[in-house]
Amino acid sequence: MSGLQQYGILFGLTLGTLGFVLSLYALARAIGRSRAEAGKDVPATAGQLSRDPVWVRYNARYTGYALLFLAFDMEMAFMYPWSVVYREEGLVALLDMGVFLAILFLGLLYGWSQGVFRRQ
Amino acid sequence: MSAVLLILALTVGVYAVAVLEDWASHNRLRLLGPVISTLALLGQESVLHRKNDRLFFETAPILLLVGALLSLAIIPLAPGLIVTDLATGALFFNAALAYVLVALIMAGWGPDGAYGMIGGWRFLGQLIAYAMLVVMPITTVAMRAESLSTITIVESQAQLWNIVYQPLGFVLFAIAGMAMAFVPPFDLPNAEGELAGGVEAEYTGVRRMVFRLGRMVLILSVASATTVFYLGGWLGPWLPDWAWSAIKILAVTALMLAGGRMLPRVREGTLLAWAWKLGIPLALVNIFLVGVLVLVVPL
Amino acid sequence: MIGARETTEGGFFSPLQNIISRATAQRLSCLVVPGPELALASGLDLPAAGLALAAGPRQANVLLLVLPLSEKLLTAASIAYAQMPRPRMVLALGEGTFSPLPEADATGPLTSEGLMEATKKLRQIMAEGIFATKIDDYDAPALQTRIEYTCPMHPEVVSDEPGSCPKCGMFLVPKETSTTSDTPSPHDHATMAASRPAASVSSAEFAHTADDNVAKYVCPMHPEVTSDAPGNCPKCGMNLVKPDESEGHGHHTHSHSAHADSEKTAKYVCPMHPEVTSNEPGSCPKCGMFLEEVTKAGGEEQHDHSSHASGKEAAKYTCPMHPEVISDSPGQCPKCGMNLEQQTTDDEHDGHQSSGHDHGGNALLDGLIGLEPGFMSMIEMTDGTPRSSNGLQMEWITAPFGPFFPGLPGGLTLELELDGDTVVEAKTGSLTGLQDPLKNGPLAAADYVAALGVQMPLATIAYRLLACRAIEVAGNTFATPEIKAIRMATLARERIASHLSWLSQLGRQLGLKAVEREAATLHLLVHAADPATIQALEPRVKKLLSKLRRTWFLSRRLATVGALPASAAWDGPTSHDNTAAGRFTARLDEIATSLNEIKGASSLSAPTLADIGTATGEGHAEVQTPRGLASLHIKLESGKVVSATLKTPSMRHIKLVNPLIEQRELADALVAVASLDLSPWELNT
Repeated sequence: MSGLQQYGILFGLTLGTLGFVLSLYALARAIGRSRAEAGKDVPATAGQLSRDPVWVRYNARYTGYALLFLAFDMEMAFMYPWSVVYREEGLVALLDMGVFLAILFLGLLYGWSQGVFRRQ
Repeated sequence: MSAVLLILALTVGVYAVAVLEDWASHNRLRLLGPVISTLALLGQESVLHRKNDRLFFETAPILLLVGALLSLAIIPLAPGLIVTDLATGALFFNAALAYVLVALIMAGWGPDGAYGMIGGWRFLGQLIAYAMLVVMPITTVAMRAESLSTITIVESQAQLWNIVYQPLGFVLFAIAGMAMAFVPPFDLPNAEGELAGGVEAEYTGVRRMVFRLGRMVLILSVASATTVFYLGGWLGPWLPDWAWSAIKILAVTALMLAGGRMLPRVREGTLLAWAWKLGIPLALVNIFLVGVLVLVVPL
Repeated sequence: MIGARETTEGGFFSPLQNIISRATAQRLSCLVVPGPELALASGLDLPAAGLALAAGPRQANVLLLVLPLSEKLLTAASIAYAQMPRPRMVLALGEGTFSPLPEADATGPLTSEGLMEATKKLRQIMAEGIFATKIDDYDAPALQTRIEYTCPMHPEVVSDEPGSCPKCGMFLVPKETSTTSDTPSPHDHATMAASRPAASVSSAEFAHTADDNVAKYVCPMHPEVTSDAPGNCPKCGMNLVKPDESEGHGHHTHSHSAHADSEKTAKYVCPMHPEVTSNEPGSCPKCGMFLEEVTKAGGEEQHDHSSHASGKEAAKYTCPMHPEVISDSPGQCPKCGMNLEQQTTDDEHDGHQSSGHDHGGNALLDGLIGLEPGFMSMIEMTDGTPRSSNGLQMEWITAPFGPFFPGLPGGLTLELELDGDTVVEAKTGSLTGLQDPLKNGPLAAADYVAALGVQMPLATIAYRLLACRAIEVAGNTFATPEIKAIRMATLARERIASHLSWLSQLGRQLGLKAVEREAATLHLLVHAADPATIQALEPRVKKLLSKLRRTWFLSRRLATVGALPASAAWDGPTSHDNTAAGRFTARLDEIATSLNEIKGASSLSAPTLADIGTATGEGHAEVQTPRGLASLHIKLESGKVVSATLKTPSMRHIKLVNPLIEQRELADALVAVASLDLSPWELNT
């Protein structure tokens, strides 16, 4: 199977799922409609009618981790091709990636020492 | 033919996961449970909020389901019994499941409710904790198999399963996988006791059904990936290939669902700290160990 | 069935609807009002009746009312009911009215048998059909909204009628609130957040491509809309304005402001609508704000960095984020490293730019050049928002965690001010709570004992005992040692039951389903059992205790939470460790010791008052209730209680909530609150 065909199958899978979900929705709608009533369309908060909007700028406290995560996630882009040819390349590959990972790991340690791993 | 088999396998698998989840949380094995629940949800109103971000609210459950199904597409149940044997299968698994995060944040943001929004953003923190621990062990699996194709990965374990070859990777992957499927104790985005349902809280009726279906497929997908990457996939004596796959996948699912129930829910701060202070260094050690092992013991 | 779903008659799907109805009858999920712990204390075995506990109103299809309920709780219940998706039912157990809620689909006495019967009936009704052709909307006073008007800049200004703000003269904007809320708007931050996006978007300046020779008129909102002749914008219908003439180069696609024409003669201008100018002071005809005097100096000050000699030479580079950074050559911003953007300025404009519609009126922002259209400025967005502990200015939200929140006692309201998922502040309260039994005049001593017991459904024995003791002291009568022993043993039983209920709640909060289940089951078995039964249950209880002690990460999870300061007025279960973990182990220990206390007892019964006759006097007594020390001061006059002063542990402990949860992660904050084991029944409403 060519790569294009494979992705065609995956695309078909996506469309099929979409169709399945939409037909479910259609069935549910045919069975009965939702009735608009007072208070029902407000997000439920444990017995209080909280109409305050919550779409705010959210203070994520894991920003330090997130920055380090970016660095590591980029590194993974190199890891995948490397891992496939690793056995072929042998020791050189180990050293190559070893140096690379060691630097990253030092970065992690440095970040740690600078208090990145704390709730901001 | 194989398409029919695969759809059948998927249906049975998801159904089994639903039964197992019910069992893990209610301690009762109700074989008809999922059918009744499905019908009940079909008969329930699906509430829409007046001020919601309709696009996000509607997309989230579908995206979760689609992402989880796509990630299942690269899981081989037996030689030839696979949706697509992508050359980049292991990578694709990750790529597809990245949409889980998007789906959950959308689900949390959509209805403009406090619990959901906190749940969604919490899952982003959770992703930062688990993502590296999913991908790093996958690379060590690929190092041994010299391929990212899941079929090759299973075949590479013919002599020795990866759970024995690289146990550290298995532990990391299994835990991170649980966090990825947000099963307890990693159910931060949809915690009942902390967020009254969190991202799931505002979904009712048929939309809730799709959301839960997506969740089941996700659990199935993570369990299957654990089986394929570490437990030798379909490999095993006596029984037919597909039976081994089924047994292993369901056993992993049951362990994942029941094991997590014995622990209190992890706090996000703790999860992040453990993942980065312990998990990532261990994952790097694992890469190094497997690197040496692959060169020294070419199994 | 009042909460039925709507359907059309004799539809094609009616066979499927019948199947669905029968399936729904098998999936009852209930929201307990006030909470599962009260159902437990009343001896209701929900799992045995096949009722699952719902996490919230959305997941529930049965509203289980444990009557009697206070008016406030019923109001909250009516909101929860309204938010339950159809099909939905009301199940009322016990005696009492529940007026804003619709008629109950099933009722019964407040016993486990009553629950069983009523649930059976619910199932029947559901199985018969959850669909109906004619249904009525549910409405309750608490769901009514009224529009109130508030100033976008001053959220504290709230009015029933439209008008202008007395502080700044802006038009008040409508906002929806509940008609029943007595405090108009405690949510200042959230209110501001609501108004902010609209304000900030519009306050940005609008760019237009000054495509010199072609464009004569452009839309202030849509710079891509240009025309040779004056007219209206096809997109928004605004009048097209003439761009300024100073430039004339194709190279600058950077933003600068459109102009109002009459600036030069204007003395007074609206801060919001610069096109509104006047020679005399007054108010803006568009928004009612007071016109501001424009002085040359003021204008210069606001736009000091943009007043330059001539168009061509004035090409400067500035940072999009830091407008104070200005350079003559391209490069990076020394503050944030972004590429500097070229800007052209002209010397013609002073005063304010025409921004087309109202905005937040941030004078600082009006002077910024180089902002993209629609750019949400940090300065604008964070203006006036509170500062987080990490120094960032974010918007806080106020979210209610109660009265029916899983993992917290039902009836307790906990309104958290959240900065991300970190708690900034908590407002606590109770929707049920103390009512003076003597409000209708003096009560006979025995009646007072009973009344106090009924008031405290979560610790009936302890408060009956407290009343008995205080009255007996006042009447100078004392119980016999045998009765005293029975009383202590009964109190010990209640302590076990209460702690088991607490463990069940903790299990629910932390996701330990097995603990939640087992503790609840044991509570039901223990709470009204005789000594022999309890003795028989002891191994099972001990097994749960040792399982909890051995649960991985549980102590660790609790140990970092809820450390009480040494000076804290805490008199609940205590160990050497003053954290939530300490209180957790203290409760486990108390269960074990209480089991021993019961061992010697011959029988257990709720304390009843010794005969005090028609005594007169004053008495004071204290009882160590499961939640802490309660005290009662009582005045007797000829056998009747005329006045009583009750002090409950929760009254003291609720004050500890805020110090325990400030700046804690939400998960920790909730555990900390749970670790105090507050009873909303012991609090003043």
